[in-house]
Amino acid sequence: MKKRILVAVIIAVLAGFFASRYPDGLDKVSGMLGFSGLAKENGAVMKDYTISFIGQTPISSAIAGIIGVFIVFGVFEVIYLMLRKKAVVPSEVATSRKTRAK
Amino acid sequence: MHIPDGFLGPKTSMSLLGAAVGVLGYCLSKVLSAITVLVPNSVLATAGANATKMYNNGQLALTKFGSEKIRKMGVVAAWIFAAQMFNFPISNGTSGHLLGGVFAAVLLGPFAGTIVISVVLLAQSIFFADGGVLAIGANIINMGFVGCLLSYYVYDYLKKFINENVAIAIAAWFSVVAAAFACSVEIGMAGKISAGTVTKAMLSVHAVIGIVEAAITLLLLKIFGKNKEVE
Repeated sequence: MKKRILVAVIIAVLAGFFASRYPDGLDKVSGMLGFSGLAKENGAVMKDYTISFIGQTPISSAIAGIIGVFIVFGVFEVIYLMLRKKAVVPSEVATSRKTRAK
Repeated sequence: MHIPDGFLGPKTSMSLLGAAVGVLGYCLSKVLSAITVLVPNSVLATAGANATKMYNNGQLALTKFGSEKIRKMGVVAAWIFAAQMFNFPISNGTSGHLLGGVFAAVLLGPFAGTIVISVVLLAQSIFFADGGVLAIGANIINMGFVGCLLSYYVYDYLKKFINENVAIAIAAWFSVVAAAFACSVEIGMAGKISAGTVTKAMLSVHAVIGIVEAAITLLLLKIFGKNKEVE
């Protein structure tokens, strides 16, 4: 699992440096058809996938990407820890019951 | 394809938010029942559990399979988040990025996959201002429900007749085009711009982005490894 998280981090860093800066499909279409002005900009700590105090640099984007990777990964780790804590029976009991049910 | 706030009217945003909550609730119940097992009170008693903690017929416990599944969901979410940052140029100043719905669905099944996509969308909206906060329902419906859950069944149906990788590629292309279509309809419903015009422009761009989605999905699945599973 650590290897796979490392791969995600590598993808995020590469994206920071090499991702295309062109607008994506929807942004392009909204610009072309003249309704991009309707968009209400929301503020966020890592707006545009950059760290604001570092600026719009590839490194800033790579760091924001790494943070994002750990945020979404962390959500499920926390859920996992919460559910595991809830289990009051030894895991073998639960596992054996699962096998029997099959 | 993340819709920002302002593109949709309040009615459209709110009804899609309601729909998204419904879809997620269903997915959560499906996943929860797949990763846990109900341990009856009699077994709890022999295992020495605290009797006051018991309620109903027993207690839900995470299975070994469930533990692995939920942690795998985190890894898949991390991959999709990272890969979505990687915009690739398409043509005349336009880029596209992976949606990852089919990638998630092939690795985790349609329900866990949809939850993973939704968590990624939520994080992008809250921390990165990518996709509106009010429009989160629309984005979950487009990229989660259409791009993952529905597209999973395209893959599942096609793989009975053709090579699995071809089925994945077609489903991945479909997921992007179908999500773009849903997105266009929603923007059209707001009434600020004609649905026909938006749909035409969106589909022509995303028909191309979909091809790259198919290629990246196959590539990422190959790197991720072969342990595909469903349910």
